[in-house]
Formats: sequence, C-alpha cells, structure tokens
Amino acid sequence: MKIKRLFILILLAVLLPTVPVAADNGPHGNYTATTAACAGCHRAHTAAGDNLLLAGTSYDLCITCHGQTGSGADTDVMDGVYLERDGNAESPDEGVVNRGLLGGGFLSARMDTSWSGSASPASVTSSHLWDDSGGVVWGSGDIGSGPGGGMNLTCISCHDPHGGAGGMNSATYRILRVTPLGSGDGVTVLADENPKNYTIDDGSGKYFGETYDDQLYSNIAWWCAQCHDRYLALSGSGHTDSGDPIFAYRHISVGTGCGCHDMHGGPPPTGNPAYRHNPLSCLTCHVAHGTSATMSDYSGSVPWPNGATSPGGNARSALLRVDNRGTCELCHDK
Amino acid sequence: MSATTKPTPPPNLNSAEKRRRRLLLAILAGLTLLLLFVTFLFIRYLNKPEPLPELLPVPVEVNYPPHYLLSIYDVDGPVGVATSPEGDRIYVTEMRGERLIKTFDTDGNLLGSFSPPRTTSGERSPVYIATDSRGRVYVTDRLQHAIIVYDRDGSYLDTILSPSLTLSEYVAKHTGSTPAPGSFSYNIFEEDVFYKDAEGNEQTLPRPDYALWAPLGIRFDASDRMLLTDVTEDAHSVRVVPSDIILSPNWLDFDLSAMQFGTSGQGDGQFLFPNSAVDDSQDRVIVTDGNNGRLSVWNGQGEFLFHFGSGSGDGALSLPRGEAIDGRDRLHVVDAVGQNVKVYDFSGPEPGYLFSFGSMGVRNGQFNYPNDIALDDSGRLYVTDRENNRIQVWSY
Amino acid sequence: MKKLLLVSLLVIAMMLFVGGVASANGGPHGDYTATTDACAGCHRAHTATSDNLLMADSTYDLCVSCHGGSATGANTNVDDGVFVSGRGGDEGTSTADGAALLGGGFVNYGGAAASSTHDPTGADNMAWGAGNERGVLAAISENLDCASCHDPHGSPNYRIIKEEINGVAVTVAQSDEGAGKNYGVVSWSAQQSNVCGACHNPYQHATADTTTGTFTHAVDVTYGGSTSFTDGNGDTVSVDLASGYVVCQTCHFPHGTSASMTGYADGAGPAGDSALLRKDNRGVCQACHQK
Repeated sequence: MKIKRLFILILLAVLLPTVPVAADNGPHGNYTATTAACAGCHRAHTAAGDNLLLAGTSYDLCITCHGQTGSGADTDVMDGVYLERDGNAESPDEGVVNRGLLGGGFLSARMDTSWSGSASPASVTSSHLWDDSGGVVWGSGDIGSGPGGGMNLTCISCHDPHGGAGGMNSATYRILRVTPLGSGDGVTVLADENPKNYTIDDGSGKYFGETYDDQLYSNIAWWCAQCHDRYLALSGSGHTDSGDPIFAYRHISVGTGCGCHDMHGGPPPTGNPAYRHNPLSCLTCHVAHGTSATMSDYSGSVPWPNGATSPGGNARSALLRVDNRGTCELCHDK
Repeated sequence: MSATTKPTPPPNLNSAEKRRRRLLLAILAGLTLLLLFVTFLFIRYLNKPEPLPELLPVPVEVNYPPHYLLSIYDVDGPVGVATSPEGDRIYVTEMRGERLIKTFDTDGNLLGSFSPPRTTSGERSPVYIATDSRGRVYVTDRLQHAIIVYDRDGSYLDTILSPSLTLSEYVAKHTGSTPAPGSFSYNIFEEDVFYKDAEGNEQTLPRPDYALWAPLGIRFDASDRMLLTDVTEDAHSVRVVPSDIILSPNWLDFDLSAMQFGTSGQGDGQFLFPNSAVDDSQDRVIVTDGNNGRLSVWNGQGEFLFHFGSGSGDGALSLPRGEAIDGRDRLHVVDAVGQNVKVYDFSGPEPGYLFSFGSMGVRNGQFNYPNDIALDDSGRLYVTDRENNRIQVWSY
Repeated sequence: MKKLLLVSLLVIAMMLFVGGVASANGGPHGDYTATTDACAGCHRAHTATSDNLLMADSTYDLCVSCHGGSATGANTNVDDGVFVSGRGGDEGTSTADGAALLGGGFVNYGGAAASSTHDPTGADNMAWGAGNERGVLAAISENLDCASCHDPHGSPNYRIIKEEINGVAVTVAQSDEGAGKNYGVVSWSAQQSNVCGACHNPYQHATADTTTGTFTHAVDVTYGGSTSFTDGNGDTVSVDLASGYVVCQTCHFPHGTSASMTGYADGAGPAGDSALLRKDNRGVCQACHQK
C-alpha cells in the first residue's frame, strides 16, 4: 500500500512540472520552449518599433485586437463593452454581450452614470491615458512632494502583454504587472481569475455596487498607489492630517469602510447596504480605464490637485462610476 | 547628270515626285496619329494617373509585386474595404470618429457616406464590407451583431439579424405584409423596431428575440456565394451561403445554415478569430485564421485540408486579417502586425509564397496596421491603412 | 382582505419612508439624488484640508465661504446678520434685500460690531447651564461650530437645525414660509426653544423651577398680552412670539447681537456681556412687561 502511494506521489511529481503555466488568455502567456508566438509581434533584427515590435506603438498593437472592430478579441476596451453573446450558454462564461466592461472604456462607455435604469453608449469624460501621451500622476511621490510627477502612459504601463507577470511567472488578474512601468515597488494584485468575468454585474449598466473578489479589492488600492502614492489612505485618514499640504485629509481607500465608523463609535453610513463595500478600495468609486460620468457645477469646478480649475466640467469626472458625487451619496445617504 | 544630255521623261519624274510626296504625307499622317495617341495617353493619364498599358503581355509565370499609386484620405481609422462590381466605387468602413461607411470614386473623391439607421457613432462598429453582383453593399457590424445591407448608393435595405432571421422577415411576420426595403429599422441598443405602415406612419414593434451571433469577415465570390466568418464566442466558424439565398427576391424565409465549418481552437480545423474567407478556382475555401496566425484551407464540401503560412521566415503570417484573390489565384493577405500584404500562389495543389509588399511606416507605400484589401478588375489593389488614416491604392 | 391589508401597509410604509427623507433646505443642503453634485461643494475625497474631508480649514471657514460677509454663494450673510439678495441664486426670495437676519450676526449686527455671540469657530466647548446648573459654565460634547446646531446635509427641522444636538434629540418644526423663505420675518414654531435646551437645558422651563436654587423666566408658554412698548420719548421696543409662545429666541439671538449694555445691565449677565439679547439693556423685558 505504501509503495503504491509512493508511486503515485512520484508520478505526480514527475507530471506536475509538465503542466503548462495557466494562460492568462489568448496570446498573453502560456508560451512553450519552442513557441512561435514571439514572431507574431516581434522581430529580432528587423523591428520597426521599440521593444523589437513589428509596429510602432504598443497601443496600436493592442487595439488591433482589443479595439472597436473586435477582430481579435471580444473585449473592446475602446468602447468599454464586451462584444460576445450571452455567456449563459457558453463555457467559460466570460461576460454578457454588449454589457459594459468592468474597467469602463477609453473612448466611450456603457454606464448608467445617471442612475436612470439603463445605459446607452456615451463618450467618456475622463480616462487614464493609453496612447503613450504624458500627464500628471496625481499624488505620486512622498508626503509634501507637490501634486504629482509626470508620466507617459500606455496599455503596457499597467498590463504585461506576455502574461505570467506574477511570482514564478504566474498568471495575474488581467495580466496586470506586479510593478507598473515607471513606478512602484511591486504589488501582486491577485492570481488570475478563473472563470474570468469581464462585465459588470448590473444588467442595466450601474457601475456602483459592483462585486469584486475580496482579495482583489484589498490589494488593488496598494497596486494603484504604486503610482498614486498619496491616495492610499488607511483607516483614520479622514480624521488625521497626513502632513501633506494638498492631500491632507483623505477618504479611506483601503480597508473596512464601514468598520471605521464602528471604530469611532459613530453610526455606520445609512445608505443602501448593497452599495457599501467591505473592504473598500479605489475600485469602489473609480473605474480603471475611463468613465462617461458627467459633472455639474460643484463637481465640475473642483480644482485639480495642482490648483488648476481647467479643464473643468465633465472633464473633471476623475474616472468616477456615477455622475457628480453619486459615489458619495450612495453610501452616505445624506 | 544634266537634263539636256540625259533628260528624264516628265512622267517618270512626276511619278517619283508623287511617290516622295506620298511618303512624306504618310509620314506626316503617322506622326499626327502618334501625336494624337500620345495626347490621348497624356489626357488619360491626367484623368486616371496610373501606368500606361503594358504593350507586351506579361507572361503568366512572371510575378512581380505591385507598385504604390496613391492614397485616399478623408477616413478615420479605415478597417474594411470593398469595390463595386463595376470597379467604379470604393467602399470603406471606419473604426474611429463617426464610424461611417464612406464611398469614393477611383480617384479618391468622396462621394458620400452612410451608417446603420437610428444609430449613434458609439452604437455601431462597421468592420468588413463586401458587394454582391447586384452592387448591394453588405457590412458586418460588431456592436450591432448583424450584417447590414445597403444599395449601391448607401440607402439602407435590410439587416441580417441572425443566421435565420432578417429584419424584413421579422417585420413581415408581425405586420402580415412585405415591407418595402429600408422602410424599417432596428438598433440593438433600443427596445423597439420601427417600421412604416401602409399610410406611411411610423409604428413600432417589440425588439425581436433571437440568439445573437457575431458575423465578421464577409466576401462574395464570382458566383455570388457569400463567404462569411462568424466569431460567436466559442463557436468560431465559417459559413458558405449559396447564391440563391443571396439573390432571392426577398429575405422573408432566410436561412444561412447551409454550410458551416470549423470550431474554436488552435488545432486542425479550428479557428481563433477567422477574419476573412475566399474561394479559389479549385473551389477551396481559404480562411485567414487571425489569432492563430495562419491560413486555413478547406475543400468545397467544408472538409478541412491543411494549414499554411504559420511559423517564421518569408511568407509567415503574424496576424492575417482581410484577404482577396485575383483571377490568377494569387491570394493577397493583409498581415496587420506584419505591416504588409503577403501574396501566395494558390493555382496549384500546393500553395506557395510569392512576395510581399509594404513595410512599417508613414510614407507612401508604408503601412501602419493595415487591415483589409480589395482588388478590382483593372489590377488595382485597395488596402486600408488603419493608423495612417488612409486607403492606399496599389497597381500591378 | 389580506391583500388589501398588505397593500395598505405597503402604502403606509412608502409614505413613512418618503416622509423620512430630509427635505430640501436650499442650496447644497439636502434633497440629494443618487447622482448629486452637492458633495463636491464642501468635501474633497483625497485633497481635503480638514477633518470630515472638508475642503476648508474648519467648518466655520467653510460655511462663511458662502454665508460670510464678503462671500458669494448664499444671500444670508450670517457674519453681518443681514440678507443680501443676489449673492446666491434663488435662496430666500421672500426676504427683503438688506433685511436683518432673525438669528443676528456673528461679527456685526445692524451695522454695529457684535457685543456677544455664540462662538462658531470651533474654539470653545463650554455652555452656560450645560452641567444642569444655571449660571455655571460646563462642557458640552464638542467644540461649538456651525455644524453643532445646523445639519449641512439638510434636516426636517426649521433652518436645518440638527436632529440631535449635544446628544439630545431636537425637534423644531418647519413653519410654512411660502414659496421662498423669509429670513427677516418671524415664522417660528412653538418648539423653537428646543434647539437651545439641548445645551442650556436648565434654562428651558415652562413652570417654576427651583432645582438649582435659582428661578428662571418661563419659556414655551403662551403670552396673550402686548409685545410692543413705546416710551415717553416715542421710542418703541418690541419682541416676537412664536405662534403665541414665548421662546428663547423671543429675547435672544441665536447667533450674535450688537446690543449695548449700560448701567445696571452692564455686566449683569453671567458672562458680563450682552448675552445675545435682542435689545439694548433690558428692552426685551419692557416689550412685554411695559413697566
């Protein structure tokens, strides 16, 4: 009996290493020793672009599959929509047709930001940069280091097209890099999700109250803060001066949102429990790619961290999931 | 040699003179004709600037790459391209901006533009485009999950909502009468189908309930068969639709299920995002198997034959997208990441790589993520040069 | 029958629910929708400069950024105790431009410097009578600022008075002021004293109270006599009742007064100041008692 067990163990030990690393998806990862995939995008000696890419910029390469035409992927990140048909009949179920992608979109998005009960495609009002252009990384750097430094941002700043970005080349959630290009010390958000789900929960297009994996939810704030350092606010940050002249008192961005009210002996927010997150994270209020939320008088005239008031209006939507300050109201129910 | 010692008879002299004059006249006439011909060629060149006609027939076995002629701008992120059956119009789909379908003449003059009725730019994503022998224009739309059909001038005719349902069929079933082409419309993002009743008043019907599909690549062969790729999740496949369905006077009993082959995957007989399908003179169907980076070849009965064009080296494909085949079975495949058009010879039992043209860049003859190609009968090639926002025109 | 009962219960529940929603009190104060814009009027999620994620250094600073003397954003200038129309939209459309605010002023009132005020700056947490003893200063639960008595997020109470002050539940009914509030004309309810009683509770007695060894003038009692007195010089002094009731506000400003105290009145109060009184010296006594 013991010999049989030993045999099985040895067999497993021999077989296990031959199981391929989980593919993050598509061409992103799961390469064999004799992979032909490199040649799909790279040339060793005749590359036209940086990183030995066949083409000029990574952004153009990414949208060749993930762009509006959906010619090579079902995730149209420009329109912020999942293009494929109802996942109910599919395996694996990766999303629901024509429903908004969790990250929103870079050009347009399908978000019910006005809480009207339905979502129509609308142009985004704010998004992370994706075309390698430069902008200010608000809150980057240490306490007292000004509004934030500059950075050029493109798809591969955050995502690793080769997959296997985690420890021991493990797959990561959304092929997110452990360390974004240009900033940070390394945070593993989460192992790859299986089965994947690319679309929001709410069929009518509400982006607030989204259910995320708890671990992802906890870790993502630390991940975002690799660039936006001073937006990382632990419990009590709303009542404690950080010493930074700009980011002095900060809404909690990681941890137990409602718990801090309990901790201080105050009543928890009285808003709809469905919209409260525990733990709470950047993703509670913001999307990663872009939003179509609109901003009225107060919300549209909030100065940028460097004091500038232009551009204002809808351009001040700060990747928020709901128009104006709906993200505040839906939890705090004032 | 004096006239008195050796006089020449006048008739003889007159005859020689006449001959010389006739010769001169003939030369003059010839020169005039030549001048007229050159003038004709010059005017023709001015009107249609392309190389002068070949004086000598090109031997069939000689293959040389085409050369760059000109570019057509006025497009924002062009992806799909097709020509009218007569070759006098070029239809282009846009990925960015207003996401229109634009019509140009062969000189690149914009003739007009159109889009699915009742849609905003964010609600449509026209991708591939093709024309049948009647000149009708078919456009696959990734967001509308449909093939939208227009007449040659871009007037909306009908929508193929699913392999077994057209919008005209849906309206006819609910109203009991055959609707006039284009007298109805449906936007997948709206709840209602709109149609005009007998009095011309706009009425609505509830949105149809049908299983969505994902038509992508579309082509018609010389006999009006429609070759369609379908990227429905986990069911990537190719459909070959007989011409009698396409040419039927109406689409009230629509059914595309005739021939469908392929499944999703990386193995033999499998596709990952097939982008285009054409047939050659041996009735083989050649599919650009996009994300597998290869061509997938099938026989006329829908049986898998072989793969071609993967790997590395000359003729190896990175991301094959649109394709077009000419009368000599030369298959032109746009390699979106390879930034060129690769040409293969499919005239024999075994295909062979011939040559490629284009390279990465922004100059004339260079590509920045090309996506699709169309050929016309005069040897012109139209290639959508997506990130350079232009259609490049090449010619053999 | 059961169905009817269920439906009735549902309707009642809905009515109660709707009734529980804070009514709009104007401007950014209350009546928030799911996509409200108002939060950003006062709060910053990440770049706040003071506690409670406020965009100003203190609650008072924030409030006077609209309601202050040189501010724009609200017609009610609480620093100077005057209504200035045109500063803040359609707030208080029934109020005459230049009308004196019923609450008085924190810095000036009636064009003169304030002689006594509640301190709204958050510097002080002491209140007369808070320890249940009249005439003795005692600590209340927090330092006093605007938000100690008013709920900036709106309230069903009159003038967005908080529903809980110093740990005491407070009800001050709204009175019907028509389409636009009138900040210069009294429309108080009989519950007006409740707001004061939350901190100054031993001063709020309707009957004789000697528990602390002192007597106090009754409040929250009706008074049917004249509230206006004209002296021999032709000078008139008058006070306003609240729906016929004598309330704290009948004699005192909640915000601040510029009344002057001379003679006996000078230094007579426990703090030795004008004690937020509405009239010079003891004019408020004479208005009713007419001695």
